[in-house]
Amino acid sequence: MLNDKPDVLHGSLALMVLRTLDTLGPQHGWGIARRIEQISGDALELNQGTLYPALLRLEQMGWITSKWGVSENNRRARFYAITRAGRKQLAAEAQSWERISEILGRFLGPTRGSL
Amino acid sequence: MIRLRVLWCRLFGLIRRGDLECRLEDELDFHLEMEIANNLRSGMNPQAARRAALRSFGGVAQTKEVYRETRGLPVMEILWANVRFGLRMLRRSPAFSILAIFCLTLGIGANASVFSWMEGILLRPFPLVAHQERLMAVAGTNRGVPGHDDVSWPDFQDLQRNCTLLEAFIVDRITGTTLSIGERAERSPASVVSANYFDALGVHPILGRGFEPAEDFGRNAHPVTVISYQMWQERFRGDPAIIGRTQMLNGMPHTIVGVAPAGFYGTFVGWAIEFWVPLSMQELFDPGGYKLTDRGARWIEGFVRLKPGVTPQQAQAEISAVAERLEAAYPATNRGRGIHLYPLWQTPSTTRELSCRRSESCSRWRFWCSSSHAPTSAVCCWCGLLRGVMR
Repeated sequence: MLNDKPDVLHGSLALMVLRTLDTLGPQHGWGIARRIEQISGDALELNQGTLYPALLRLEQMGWITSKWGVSENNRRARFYAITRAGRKQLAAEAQSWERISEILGRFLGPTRGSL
Repeated sequence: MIRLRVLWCRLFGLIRRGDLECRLEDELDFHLEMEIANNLRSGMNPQAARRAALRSFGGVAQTKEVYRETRGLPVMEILWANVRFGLRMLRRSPAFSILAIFCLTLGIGANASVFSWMEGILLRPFPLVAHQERLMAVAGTNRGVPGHDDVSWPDFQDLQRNCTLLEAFIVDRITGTTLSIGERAERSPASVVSANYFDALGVHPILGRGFEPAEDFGRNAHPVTVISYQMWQERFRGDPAIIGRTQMLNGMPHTIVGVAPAGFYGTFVGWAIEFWVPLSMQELFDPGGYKLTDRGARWIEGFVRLKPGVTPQQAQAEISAVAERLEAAYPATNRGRGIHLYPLWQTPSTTRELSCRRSESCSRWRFWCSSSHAPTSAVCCWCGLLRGVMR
Protein backbone atom coordinates (compact mmCIF):
# COMPACT_ATOMS: atom_id res chain seq x y z
CA MET A 1 0.00 0.00 0.00
CA LEU A 2 2.93 2.28 0.67
CA ASN A 3 3.96 2.53 -2.95
CA ASP A 4 0.43 2.35 -4.17
CA LYS A 5 -0.17 6.01 -4.98
CA PRO A 6 -3.80 6.80 -5.70
CA ASP A 7 -4.88 10.14 -7.04
CA VAL A 8 -3.16 13.10 -5.43
CA LEU A 9 -6.17 14.30 -3.52
CA HIS A 10 -6.71 10.90 -2.03
CA GLY A 11 -3.15 10.63 -0.80
CA SER A 12 -3.18 14.17 0.48
CA LEU A 13 -6.34 13.54 2.49
CA ALA A 14 -4.56 10.76 4.39
CA LEU A 15 -1.67 13.08 5.01
CA MET A 16 -3.96 15.83 6.27
CA VAL A 17 -5.69 13.42 8.64
CA LEU A 18 -2.41 12.14 10.05
CA ARG A 19 -1.12 15.69 10.47
CA THR A 20 -4.32 16.81 12.19
CA LEU A 21 -4.25 13.93 14.64
CA ASP A 22 -0.55 14.49 15.26
CA THR A 23 -1.13 18.16 16.16
CA LEU A 24 -4.48 18.05 17.94
CA GLY A 25 -4.39 14.62 19.57
CA PRO A 26 -7.39 12.25 19.46
CA GLN A 27 -10.29 13.63 17.43
CA HIS A 28 -13.63 12.41 16.16
CA GLY A 29 -14.42 12.38 12.47
CA TRP A 30 -16.31 15.64 12.46
CA GLY A 31 -13.50 17.36 14.35
CA ILE A 32 -10.99 16.18 11.77
CA ALA A 33 -13.20 17.39 8.93
CA ARG A 34 -13.64 20.80 10.56
CA ARG A 35 -9.93 21.16 11.15
CA ILE A 36 -9.08 20.29 7.55
CA GLU A 37 -11.62 22.79 6.30
CA GLN A 38 -10.38 25.49 8.66
CA ILE A 39 -6.75 25.02 7.77
CA SER A 40 -7.41 24.97 4.05
CA GLY A 41 -9.84 27.85 4.29
CA ASP A 42 -12.50 27.66 1.63
CA ALA A 43 -9.87 26.65 -0.88
CA LEU A 44 -10.54 22.94 -0.49
CA GLU A 45 -13.95 21.49 -1.26
CA LEU A 46 -13.87 18.46 1.00
CA ASN A 47 -16.65 15.94 0.67
CA GLN A 48 -16.82 15.14 4.34
CA GLY A 49 -18.19 11.70 3.54
CA THR A 50 -14.95 10.61 1.88
CA LEU A 51 -13.23 11.08 5.21
CA TYR A 52 -14.72 7.95 6.77
CA PRO A 53 -13.50 5.36 4.27
CA ALA A 54 -10.13 7.10 4.44
CA LEU A 55 -10.10 6.81 8.22
CA LEU A 56 -10.98 3.14 7.98
CA ARG A 57 -8.16 2.57 5.52
CA LEU A 58 -5.66 4.33 7.74
CA GLU A 59 -6.83 2.23 10.65
CA GLN A 60 -6.43 -0.97 8.63
CA MET A 61 -2.88 0.03 7.84
CA GLY A 62 -2.20 0.52 11.51
CA TRP A 63 -1.41 4.22 11.28
CA ILE A 64 -4.32 5.31 13.47
CA THR A 65 -6.46 3.64 16.12
CA SER A 66 -10.01 4.38 17.16
CA LYS A 67 -12.18 3.93 20.19
CA TRP A 68 -15.49 5.15 21.50
CA GLY A 69 -15.38 8.27 23.67
CA VAL A 70 -17.57 11.17 24.76
CA SER A 71 -17.65 14.31 22.68
CA GLU A 72 -17.60 17.94 23.88
CA ASN A 73 -21.42 17.98 23.77
CA ASN A 74 -21.66 14.73 25.76
CA ARG A 75 -22.43 12.48 22.86
CA ARG A 76 -20.92 9.10 22.15
CA ALA A 77 -18.38 9.52 19.35
CA ARG A 78 -15.61 7.54 17.74
CA PHE A 79 -12.22 9.11 18.51
CA TYR A 80 -9.22 8.57 16.31
CA ALA A 81 -5.61 8.80 17.46
CA ILE A 82 -2.35 8.54 15.58
CA THR A 83 -0.06 5.58 16.32
CA ARG A 84 3.70 5.42 16.34
CA ALA A 85 3.67 3.78 12.89
CA GLY A 86 1.36 6.61 11.80
CA ARG A 87 3.89 9.25 12.96
CA LYS A 88 6.63 7.50 11.03
CA GLN A 89 4.43 7.39 7.97
CA LEU A 90 3.54 11.05 8.41
CA ALA A 91 7.20 12.03 8.53
CA ALA A 92 7.97 9.99 5.41
CA GLU A 93 5.01 11.31 3.47
CA ALA A 94 5.59 14.90 4.52
CA GLN A 95 9.14 14.65 3.26
CA SER A 96 8.07 13.20 -0.05
CA TRP A 97 5.42 15.91 -0.45
CA GLU A 98 7.97 18.58 0.23
CA ARG A 99 10.24 17.09 -2.38
CA ILE A 100 7.46 16.90 -4.92
CA SER A 101 6.28 20.44 -4.31
CA GLU A 102 9.87 21.65 -4.51
CA ILE A 103 10.33 19.95 -7.87
CA LEU A 104 7.02 21.30 -9.13
CA GLY A 105 7.98 24.69 -7.78
CA ARG A 106 11.13 24.58 -9.87
CA PHE A 107 9.05 23.82 -12.92
CA LEU A 108 6.44 26.46 -12.29
CA GLY A 109 8.60 29.05 -10.63
CA PRO A 110 9.67 32.45 -12.04
CA THR A 111 12.11 31.12 -14.59
CA ARG A 112 10.35 32.46 -17.63
CA GLY A 113 13.01 35.01 -18.22
CA SER A 114 15.74 32.45 -18.43
CA LEU A 115 13.95 30.38 -21.04
CA MET B 1 3.58 -6.62 6.20
CA ILE B 2 1.10 -3.79 5.87
CA ARG B 3 -0.73 -5.67 3.12
CA LEU B 4 -1.05 -8.66 5.41
CA ARG B 5 -2.34 -6.48 8.16
CA VAL B 6 -4.92 -4.90 5.84
CA LEU B 7 -6.03 -8.32 4.63
CA TRP B 8 -6.40 -9.49 8.20
CA CYS B 9 -8.45 -6.39 9.10
CA ARG B 10 -10.66 -6.97 6.08
CA LEU B 11 -11.22 -10.60 6.94
CA PHE B 12 -12.09 -9.54 10.42
CA GLY B 13 -14.40 -6.91 8.94
CA LEU B 14 -16.11 -9.65 6.96
CA ILE B 15 -16.86 -11.62 10.08
CA ARG B 16 -17.93 -8.68 12.24
CA ARG B 17 -20.03 -7.07 9.56
CA GLY B 18 -22.96 -6.39 11.90
CA ASP B 19 -20.94 -4.59 14.57
CA LEU B 20 -19.11 -2.48 12.06
CA GLU B 21 -22.35 -1.52 10.31
CA CYS B 22 -23.70 -0.17 13.63
CA ARG B 23 -20.48 1.69 14.19
CA LEU B 24 -20.74 3.29 10.76
CA GLU B 25 -24.37 4.36 11.36
CA ASP B 26 -23.55 5.86 14.72
CA GLU B 27 -20.55 7.68 13.40
CA LEU B 28 -22.33 9.22 10.43
CA ASP B 29 -25.32 10.21 12.58
CA PHE B 30 -23.00 11.89 15.02
CA HIS B 31 -21.20 13.68 12.24
CA LEU B 32 -24.38 15.06 10.69
CA GLU B 33 -25.70 16.07 14.07
CA MET B 34 -22.54 18.01 14.84
CA GLU B 35 -22.61 19.65 11.44
CA ILE B 36 -26.26 20.65 11.80
CA ALA B 37 -25.64 22.04 15.27
CA ASN B 38 -22.72 24.01 13.91
CA ASN B 39 -24.84 25.39 11.08
CA LEU B 40 -27.58 26.36 13.55
CA ARG B 41 -25.03 28.21 15.62
CA SER B 42 -24.07 30.21 12.56
CA GLY B 43 -27.67 31.36 12.26
CA MET B 44 -29.34 29.04 9.74
CA ASN B 45 -32.88 27.83 10.26
CA PRO B 46 -33.19 24.11 11.07
CA GLN B 47 -34.18 23.07 7.56
CA ALA B 48 -31.40 24.96 5.85
CA ALA B 49 -28.93 23.75 8.46
CA ARG B 50 -29.83 20.13 7.70
CA ARG B 51 -29.66 20.65 3.95
CA ALA B 52 -26.28 22.33 4.18
CA ALA B 53 -24.97 19.56 6.40
CA LEU B 54 -26.05 16.89 3.94
CA ARG B 55 -24.60 18.83 1.05
CA SER B 56 -21.19 19.24 2.59
CA PHE B 57 -21.21 15.58 3.57
CA GLY B 58 -21.70 14.66 -0.06
CA GLY B 59 -23.93 11.60 -0.23
CA VAL B 60 -24.54 9.44 2.80
CA ALA B 61 -25.43 6.34 0.78
CA GLN B 62 -22.33 6.60 -1.40
CA THR B 63 -20.13 7.05 1.63
CA LYS B 64 -21.62 3.96 3.23
CA GLU B 65 -21.05 1.97 0.06
CA VAL B 66 -17.40 2.98 -0.25
CA TYR B 67 -16.96 2.32 3.45
CA ARG B 68 -18.37 -1.19 3.15
CA GLU B 69 -16.13 -1.97 0.21
CA THR B 70 -13.11 -0.80 2.14
CA ARG B 71 -14.15 -2.69 5.23
CA GLY B 72 -14.62 -6.23 3.91
CA LEU B 73 -13.51 -8.33 0.99
CA PRO B 74 -15.84 -7.45 -1.86
CA VAL B 75 -14.78 -10.51 -3.85
CA MET B 76 -15.76 -12.84 -1.03
CA GLU B 77 -19.03 -11.06 -0.45
CA ILE B 78 -19.98 -11.24 -4.12
CA LEU B 79 -19.04 -14.91 -4.18
CA TRP B 80 -21.20 -15.59 -1.17
CA ALA B 81 -24.10 -13.66 -2.71
CA ASN B 82 -23.76 -15.80 -5.83
CA VAL B 83 -23.76 -18.99 -3.81
CA ARG B 84 -26.91 -17.92 -2.06
CA PHE B 85 -28.50 -16.99 -5.34
CA GLY B 86 -27.55 -20.38 -6.74
CA LEU B 87 -29.10 -22.18 -3.80
CA ARG B 88 -32.30 -20.19 -4.18
CA MET B 89 -32.46 -21.12 -7.86
CA LEU B 90 -31.95 -24.77 -6.99
CA ARG B 91 -34.78 -24.63 -4.50
CA ARG B 92 -37.05 -23.00 -7.02
CA SER B 93 -37.03 -26.01 -9.35
CA PRO B 94 -36.35 -29.02 -7.15
CA ALA B 95 -37.01 -31.66 -9.82
CA PHE B 96 -34.38 -30.24 -12.11
CA SER B 97 -32.02 -29.74 -9.22
CA ILE B 98 -32.31 -33.34 -8.16
CA LEU B 99 -31.73 -34.52 -11.70
CA ALA B 100 -28.71 -32.26 -12.09
CA ILE B 101 -27.24 -33.36 -8.79
CA PHE B 102 -27.88 -36.96 -9.70
CA CYS B 103 -26.16 -36.60 -13.06
CA LEU B 104 -23.16 -34.84 -11.61
CA THR B 105 -22.92 -37.38 -8.81
CA LEU B 106 -22.83 -40.23 -11.26
CA GLY B 107 -20.36 -38.42 -13.49
CA ILE B 108 -18.01 -37.55 -10.67
CA GLY B 109 -18.42 -40.98 -9.13
CA ALA B 110 -17.55 -42.70 -12.41
CA ASN B 111 -14.62 -40.38 -12.78
CA ALA B 112 -13.30 -41.12 -9.32
CA SER B 113 -13.70 -44.84 -9.74
CA VAL B 114 -11.88 -44.92 -13.06
CA PHE B 115 -9.07 -42.84 -11.69
CA SER B 116 -8.70 -45.04 -8.65
CA TRP B 117 -8.82 -48.06 -10.94
CA MET B 118 -6.03 -46.52 -12.98
CA GLU B 119 -4.05 -45.82 -9.86
CA GLY B 120 -4.53 -49.39 -8.76
CA ILE B 121 -3.74 -51.07 -12.06
CA LEU B 122 -1.07 -48.80 -13.40
CA LEU B 123 0.74 -47.17 -10.55
CA ARG B 124 0.38 -49.30 -7.45
CA PRO B 125 -0.97 -52.59 -8.69
CA PHE B 126 -0.06 -54.77 -5.75
CA PRO B 127 -1.81 -54.22 -2.43
CA LEU B 128 0.43 -54.32 0.66
CA VAL B 129 3.66 -54.36 -1.34
CA ALA B 130 6.13 -51.77 -0.05
CA HIS B 131 7.84 -49.17 -2.27
CA GLN B 132 6.17 -50.08 -5.52
CA GLU B 133 7.64 -46.96 -7.06
CA ARG B 134 11.02 -48.72 -7.04
CA LEU B 135 9.69 -52.02 -8.30
CA MET B 136 10.08 -52.94 -11.96
CA ALA B 137 9.14 -55.96 -13.99
CA VAL B 138 11.93 -57.87 -15.72
CA ALA B 139 11.69 -59.84 -18.97
CA GLY B 140 13.94 -61.34 -21.62
CA THR B 141 14.26 -60.05 -25.19
CA ASN B 142 15.61 -61.52 -28.42
CA ARG B 143 17.61 -59.38 -30.81
CA GLY B 144 15.57 -58.56 -33.88
CA VAL B 145 12.37 -59.99 -32.46
CA PRO B 146 9.80 -57.57 -31.06
CA GLY B 147 8.22 -58.29 -27.70
CA HIS B 148 9.67 -60.23 -24.84
CA ASP B 149 9.79 -63.58 -23.15
CA ASP B 150 10.98 -64.91 -19.83
CA VAL B 151 14.30 -65.40 -18.10
CA SER B 152 16.14 -68.58 -17.12
CA TRP B 153 17.10 -69.23 -13.53
CA PRO B 154 20.86 -69.40 -14.16
CA ASP B 155 20.68 -66.04 -15.97
CA PHE B 156 18.57 -64.61 -13.19
CA GLN B 157 21.11 -65.69 -10.59
CA ASP B 158 23.96 -64.18 -12.59
CA LEU B 159 22.11 -60.90 -12.83
CA GLN B 160 21.53 -60.97 -9.13
CA ARG B 161 25.20 -61.58 -8.43
CA ASN B 162 26.51 -58.91 -10.80
CA CYS B 163 24.15 -55.98 -10.45
CA THR B 164 24.99 -53.42 -7.81
CA LEU B 165 22.19 -50.91 -8.44
CA LEU B 166 19.41 -53.32 -7.62
CA GLU B 167 18.31 -54.24 -4.16
CA ALA B 168 16.44 -57.42 -4.94
CA PHE B 169 15.62 -59.84 -7.72
CA ILE B 170 12.28 -61.52 -7.20
CA VAL B 171 11.02 -64.56 -9.08
CA ASP B 172 7.28 -64.86 -9.47
CA ARG B 173 5.94 -67.44 -11.87
CA ILE B 174 2.19 -67.70 -11.86
CA THR B 175 0.83 -71.21 -12.19
CA GLY B 176 -2.05 -73.26 -11.03
CA THR B 177 -2.21 -76.07 -8.58
CA THR B 178 -4.53 -78.94 -8.11
CA LEU B 179 -5.61 -78.78 -4.59
CA SER B 180 -6.99 -81.95 -3.06
CA ILE B 181 -9.06 -81.87 0.04
CA GLY B 182 -10.32 -85.28 1.03
CA GLU B 183 -12.10 -86.65 -2.00
CA ARG B 184 -12.36 -83.36 -3.85
CA ALA B 185 -9.85 -81.75 -6.16
CA GLU B 186 -9.85 -78.10 -7.20
CA ARG B 187 -7.76 -75.71 -9.26
CA SER B 188 -6.27 -72.82 -7.45
CA PRO B 189 -3.96 -70.01 -8.56
CA ALA B 190 -0.44 -70.45 -7.21
CA SER B 191 2.95 -68.84 -7.65
CA VAL B 192 6.43 -70.27 -7.76
CA VAL B 193 8.54 -67.65 -6.04
CA SER B 194 12.11 -67.12 -4.96
CA ALA B 195 12.89 -67.50 -1.29
CA ASN B 196 13.32 -63.74 -0.87
CA TYR B 197 9.80 -63.07 -2.19
CA PHE B 198 8.02 -62.03 1.00
CA ASP B 199 10.98 -60.22 2.55
CA ALA B 200 11.78 -58.32 -0.62
CA LEU B 201 8.17 -57.21 -1.09
CA GLY B 202 7.91 -56.14 2.53
CA VAL B 203 5.00 -58.50 3.12
CA HIS B 204 5.22 -60.31 6.42
CA PRO B 205 3.29 -63.53 7.00
CA ILE B 206 0.92 -63.17 9.92
CA LEU B 207 1.51 -66.76 10.98
CA GLY B 208 4.62 -68.84 10.51
CA ARG B 209 7.30 -67.64 8.11
CA GLY B 210 8.13 -66.85 4.51
CA PHE B 211 10.66 -68.94 2.63
CA GLU B 212 14.27 -69.60 3.58
CA PRO B 213 17.20 -69.14 1.17
CA ALA B 214 17.89 -72.89 1.09
CA GLU B 215 14.40 -73.48 -0.27
CA ASP B 216 15.46 -72.09 -3.66
CA PHE B 217 17.65 -75.14 -4.25
CA GLY B 218 17.31 -78.91 -4.63
CA ARG B 219 15.01 -80.54 -7.14
CA ASN B 220 11.56 -80.72 -5.56
CA ALA B 221 13.37 -80.82 -2.23
CA HIS B 222 11.21 -78.40 -0.24
CA PRO B 223 7.51 -79.16 -0.38
CA VAL B 224 6.48 -76.21 1.74
CA THR B 225 3.86 -73.55 1.05
CA VAL B 226 2.65 -70.20 2.27
CA ILE B 227 -1.12 -69.85 1.93
CA SER B 228 -3.21 -66.74 1.45
CA TYR B 229 -5.24 -65.25 4.26
CA GLN B 230 -8.42 -65.97 2.38
CA MET B 231 -7.48 -69.60 1.89
CA TRP B 232 -6.70 -69.86 5.59
CA GLN B 233 -10.02 -68.31 6.57
CA GLU B 234 -12.25 -70.13 4.12
CA ARG B 235 -10.79 -73.54 3.67
CA PHE B 236 -9.08 -73.93 6.99
CA ARG B 237 -11.61 -71.88 8.95
CA GLY B 238 -8.90 -69.67 10.44
CA ASP B 239 -7.40 -72.63 12.26
CA PRO B 240 -4.77 -71.11 14.60
CA ALA B 241 -2.80 -74.36 14.53
CA ILE B 242 -2.47 -74.33 10.76
CA ILE B 243 1.32 -74.09 10.68
CA GLY B 244 2.87 -77.51 10.20
CA ARG B 245 -0.23 -79.10 8.71
CA THR B 246 0.10 -80.61 5.27
CA GLN B 247 -1.90 -79.92 2.16
CA MET B 248 -1.87 -81.94 -1.05
CA LEU B 249 -0.76 -79.75 -3.97
CA ASN B 250 -0.38 -81.33 -7.39
CA GLY B 251 -0.45 -84.68 -5.73
CA MET B 252 2.34 -84.04 -3.28
CA PRO B 253 1.92 -83.25 0.40
CA HIS B 254 3.16 -79.74 1.24
CA THR B 255 3.78 -78.44 4.71
CA ILE B 256 2.07 -75.14 5.37
CA VAL B 257 4.78 -72.90 6.80
CA GLY B 258 3.09 -69.51 6.69
CA VAL B 259 -0.09 -67.48 6.21
CA ALA B 260 0.11 -64.26 4.19
CA PRO B 261 -1.54 -61.15 5.61
CA ALA B 262 -5.12 -60.22 4.70
CA GLY B 263 -5.28 -58.09 1.56
CA PHE B 264 -2.16 -59.54 -0.05
CA TYR B 265 -3.07 -61.18 -3.33
CA GLY B 266 0.34 -61.79 -4.77
CA THR B 267 1.95 -59.89 -7.62
CA PHE B 268 -0.08 -60.70 -10.67
CA VAL B 269 -2.75 -58.19 -11.62
CA GLY B 270 -6.13 -59.81 -12.01
CA TRP B 271 -5.40 -62.90 -9.95
CA ALA B 272 -5.70 -63.60 -6.25
CA ILE B 273 -2.91 -66.07 -5.59
CA GLU B 274 -3.74 -68.64 -2.93
CA PHE B 275 -0.54 -70.65 -2.60
CA TRP B 276 3.09 -69.74 -2.86
CA VAL B 277 5.74 -72.43 -3.21
CA PRO B 278 9.53 -72.00 -3.31
CA LEU B 279 11.60 -72.09 -6.46
CA SER B 280 12.90 -75.60 -5.81
CA MET B 281 9.37 -76.91 -6.51
CA GLN B 282 9.42 -75.57 -10.08
CA GLU B 283 9.22 -78.97 -11.74
CA LEU B 284 6.08 -79.91 -9.86
CA PHE B 285 4.21 -76.69 -10.64
CA ASP B 286 5.53 -75.44 -13.94
CA PRO B 287 5.00 -77.78 -16.88
CA GLY B 288 7.93 -78.65 -19.13
CA GLY B 289 10.33 -80.46 -16.87
CA TYR B 290 13.08 -79.46 -14.52
CA LYS B 291 14.47 -76.08 -15.55
CA LEU B 292 16.52 -74.84 -12.65
CA THR B 293 19.88 -75.81 -14.11
CA ASP B 294 19.04 -75.10 -17.74
CA ARG B 295 20.24 -71.71 -18.98
CA GLY B 296 18.20 -72.15 -22.12
CA ALA B 297 14.89 -72.73 -20.31
CA ARG B 298 13.19 -69.38 -19.95
CA TRP B 299 10.28 -69.47 -17.59
CA ILE B 300 10.83 -66.85 -14.91
CA GLU B 301 8.61 -63.82 -14.65
CA GLY B 302 10.01 -61.51 -12.09
CA PHE B 303 10.61 -58.15 -10.55
CA VAL B 304 13.56 -56.12 -9.45
CA ARG B 305 13.67 -53.45 -6.82
CA LEU B 306 15.92 -50.48 -7.56
CA LYS B 307 18.07 -49.16 -4.78
CA PRO B 308 16.85 -45.75 -3.58
CA GLY B 309 17.92 -42.96 -5.93
CA VAL B 310 18.70 -45.26 -8.87
CA THR B 311 16.86 -44.35 -12.06
CA PRO B 312 15.33 -47.00 -14.34
CA GLN B 313 17.79 -45.95 -17.05
CA GLN B 314 20.81 -46.57 -14.83
CA ALA B 315 19.45 -49.94 -13.76
CA GLN B 316 18.72 -50.88 -17.35
CA ALA B 317 22.24 -49.92 -18.42
CA GLU B 318 23.77 -52.11 -15.75
CA ILE B 319 21.50 -55.05 -16.55
CA SER B 320 22.21 -54.75 -20.26
CA ALA B 321 25.94 -54.79 -19.58
CA VAL B 322 25.59 -58.00 -17.56
CA ALA B 323 23.39 -59.51 -20.26
CA GLU B 324 26.08 -58.78 -22.85
CA ARG B 325 28.69 -60.52 -20.74
CA LEU B 326 26.39 -63.52 -20.40
CA GLU B 327 25.89 -63.54 -24.13
CA ALA B 328 29.63 -63.68 -24.67
CA ALA B 329 30.15 -66.34 -22.02
CA TYR B 330 27.29 -68.65 -23.08
CA PRO B 331 26.82 -68.16 -26.82
CA ALA B 332 25.00 -71.45 -27.21
CA THR B 333 22.06 -70.41 -25.09
CA ASN B 334 22.35 -66.63 -24.91
CA ARG B 335 23.07 -65.45 -28.44
CA GLY B 336 21.01 -62.34 -29.10
CA ARG B 337 19.53 -62.41 -25.60
CA GLY B 338 18.82 -59.23 -23.68
CA ILE B 339 17.15 -58.42 -20.41
CA HIS B 340 14.69 -55.54 -20.22
CA LEU B 341 13.08 -53.68 -17.32
CA TYR B 342 9.50 -52.43 -17.53
CA PRO B 343 7.48 -50.14 -15.30
CA LEU B 344 4.89 -52.09 -13.33
CA TRP B 345 1.96 -50.93 -15.41
CA GLN B 346 3.66 -52.46 -18.41
CA THR B 347 4.50 -55.72 -16.66
CA PRO B 348 4.92 -57.99 -19.67
CA SER B 349 3.32 -61.05 -18.12
CA THR B 350 0.27 -58.99 -17.13
CA THR B 351 -0.20 -57.18 -20.40
CA ARG B 352 0.26 -60.48 -22.19
CA GLU B 353 -2.49 -61.87 -20.08
CA LEU B 354 -4.64 -58.89 -21.00
CA SER B 355 -4.50 -60.18 -24.58
CA CYS B 356 -2.37 -57.60 -26.27
CA ARG B 357 0.72 -59.52 -27.05
CA ARG B 358 1.83 -58.25 -30.42
CA SER B 359 4.10 -55.43 -29.40
CA GLU B 360 5.00 -53.19 -26.57
CA SER B 361 3.79 -50.02 -28.26
CA CYS B 362 0.47 -51.66 -28.89
CA SER B 363 -0.07 -52.59 -25.28
CA ARG B 364 0.93 -49.18 -24.06
CA TRP B 365 -1.38 -47.52 -26.54
CA ARG B 366 -4.40 -49.58 -25.60
CA PHE B 367 -3.75 -49.20 -21.92
CA TRP B 368 -3.65 -45.45 -22.07
CA CYS B 369 -6.56 -45.19 -24.44
CA SER B 370 -8.89 -47.16 -22.31
CA SER B 371 -7.78 -45.76 -19.01
CA SER B 372 -7.34 -42.07 -19.70
CA HIS B 373 -10.32 -41.55 -21.95
CA ALA B 374 -12.86 -43.32 -19.86
CA PRO B 375 -13.17 -40.75 -17.06
CA THR B 376 -13.17 -37.78 -19.41
CA SER B 377 -15.82 -39.23 -21.62
CA ALA B 378 -17.89 -40.24 -18.60
CA VAL B 379 -18.12 -36.67 -17.39
CA CYS B 380 -18.73 -35.33 -20.89
CA CYS B 381 -21.55 -37.80 -21.23
CA TRP B 382 -23.26 -36.66 -18.06
CA CYS B 383 -22.82 -33.00 -18.88
CA GLY B 384 -24.35 -33.64 -22.28
CA LEU B 385 -27.27 -35.36 -20.70
CA LEU B 386 -27.79 -32.44 -18.36
CA ARG B 387 -27.66 -29.99 -21.22
CA GLY B 388 -30.26 -32.01 -23.08
CA VAL B 389 -32.57 -31.74 -20.13
CA MET B 390 -32.05 -28.00 -19.77
CA ARG B 391 -33.31 -27.23 -23.25
